[in-house]
Amino acid sequence: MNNSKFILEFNNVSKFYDVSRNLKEILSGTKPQVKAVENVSFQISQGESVGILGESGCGKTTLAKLILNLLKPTQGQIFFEDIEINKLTERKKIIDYKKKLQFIFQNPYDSLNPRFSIKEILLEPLKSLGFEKIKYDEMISSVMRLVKLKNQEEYLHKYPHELSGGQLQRIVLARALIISPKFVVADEPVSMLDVSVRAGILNAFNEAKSKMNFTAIYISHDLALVKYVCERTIVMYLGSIVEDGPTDEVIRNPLHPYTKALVKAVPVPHVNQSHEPLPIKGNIPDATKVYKGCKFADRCPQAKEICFNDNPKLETKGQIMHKTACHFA
Amino acid sequence: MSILEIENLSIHYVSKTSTVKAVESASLKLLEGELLGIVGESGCGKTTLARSIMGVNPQAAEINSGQIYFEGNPLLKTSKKDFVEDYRWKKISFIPQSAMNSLDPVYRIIDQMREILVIRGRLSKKDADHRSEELFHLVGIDIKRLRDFPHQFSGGMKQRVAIAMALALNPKIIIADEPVTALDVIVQRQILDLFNELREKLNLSIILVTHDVSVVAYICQKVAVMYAGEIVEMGPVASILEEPQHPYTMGLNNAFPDLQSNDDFLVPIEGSPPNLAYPPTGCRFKERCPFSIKKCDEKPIRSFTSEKEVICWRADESKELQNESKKLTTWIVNE
Repeated sequence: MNNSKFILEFNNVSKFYDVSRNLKEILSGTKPQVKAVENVSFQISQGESVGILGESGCGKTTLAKLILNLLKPTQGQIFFEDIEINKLTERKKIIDYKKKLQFIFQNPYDSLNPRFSIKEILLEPLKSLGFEKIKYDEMISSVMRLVKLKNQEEYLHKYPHELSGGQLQRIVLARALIISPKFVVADEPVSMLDVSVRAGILNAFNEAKSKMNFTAIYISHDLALVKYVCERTIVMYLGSIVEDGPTDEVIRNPLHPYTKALVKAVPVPHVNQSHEPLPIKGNIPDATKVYKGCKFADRCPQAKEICFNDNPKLETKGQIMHKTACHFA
Repeated sequence: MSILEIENLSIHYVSKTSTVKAVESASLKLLEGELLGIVGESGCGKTTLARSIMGVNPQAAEINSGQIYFEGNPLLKTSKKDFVEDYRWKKISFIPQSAMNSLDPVYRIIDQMREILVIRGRLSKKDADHRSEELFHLVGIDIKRLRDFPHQFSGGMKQRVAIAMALALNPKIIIADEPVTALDVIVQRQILDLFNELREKLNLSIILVTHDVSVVAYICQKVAVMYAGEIVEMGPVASILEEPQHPYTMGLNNAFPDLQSNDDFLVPIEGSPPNLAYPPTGCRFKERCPFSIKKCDEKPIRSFTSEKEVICWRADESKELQNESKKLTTWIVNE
């Protein structure tokens, strides 16, 4: 049991959604499926911060939901501290698990109850996970300091509609951190916010991380933001991991053709930048398509015959710890 | 020659309880074949400004002062009927925010194209379909897909359809409101390249409204930076990005994530924009500005140089301020 140093482990995890569209498809048994996550394996060590990067529809949010045990995987196992989470049945153990893991949602306007005051919002996790009542005030004030909300008293009695987007996202952050979790999953936490406040939230997140030393998964479509938060980046394409490595390496020396295109496509705030066309064709295909070989082969400029017939494995190529799934990397 | 000129335009949203001064004395010029970016955060008035050119602001929006000229003709003096007849779609067309959702889900694309081409363009149905094919070809979509419904297209494709519609009647100006915001980076890049290509091919003038500095850096020639309803700085993209004179522009450049830089942190601008129902007297940025001085309580005077304009009392000290603005300690007050 207790043999690994990994806090989270994915073992060939898949999650398929049935999307039968009509009676004929259901009766004929040829159910089309969206393979939102397919055969994904990775390990995350204690204290690491990992960015999960990909375009919309690549399965990154499904992955987050799997980690949170909000979805059951179709195949494979997910271990959190060596416990297989989707086999948890005992209520006490589930609560233990929840105490260690917290989630930060994308849209702060939608993820806070409008009828709760800020104080009630922050008390909610404490109450439902059974923390001691005497500690409440102390926990609230320390977490408010952590997310840099000064004049606490002023905020605690306000309601969500009275705060700005940036302040709300700090509250969402505070609600996640108040129970001192060991693991935090953040799903695009700043994509709804304006540029000038984004930086503040990311800095608060980073600072909290170094103080509390939690492990973090940061889901984003923006490589430029991942760079500021994560030391390791996993790139996903159509439900599979195509590249996994240290963020700097992934940006400077991308191995997979998809990552190469992605890095090239990220706009930068400079005038002198290349306008050459991207080395990638077409659009993301229909998610129900079945693949024999590499999923990216249709759009890949380097694709050869082997790519259409044989699915490449995620293997270490180039630097240590820098893995990619490509025949020609 | 400038094809579009906005002069001293102020737009207020009037309600029973308050008046929100959404746009305040905005002036800008758009040259023929130019791609102008309007950049700013949410609520800075960039969309209101863009929509006023099309005359599609909601009723509560009152144009308080100013004039919009299209090739010298004052648009705000034209009656609504004449404006719709002569300008909308024909001279100036508009790609609304989230154009993807602005397509009617129950009509085929071809029927939606016909609506513009037959009703506004007075083409016969046959000519309209022919023109639709031409347009689809121009924006790079297979003409077989004309008979599809909007839900059968991906986000990037819908955006291309919206661009095709905007081009339907050969307008001279396209106003695009956040055309790439909801798209993935790769698709975003393709759409931006399309805009650039069309601009060159058709000699279009384009106004691109966005919150994304890097989009502006990628395709625009000129940029207007808006803050709290005012154009605080305007000029060629290179000089705005590299030698900003307004502290807000400096802060915005700092706060923007940059894949190529080696910094480990982003520098935020503390605080939030003022409530435009009660804008502060004097400079509207002074409460968040690290360089504010006493004089900022007075309304700053807009200063013009040959190609740039800026509204800040300390614009002539901008060299020193630029150096200061690169330091983290300038923007973050330590407790």
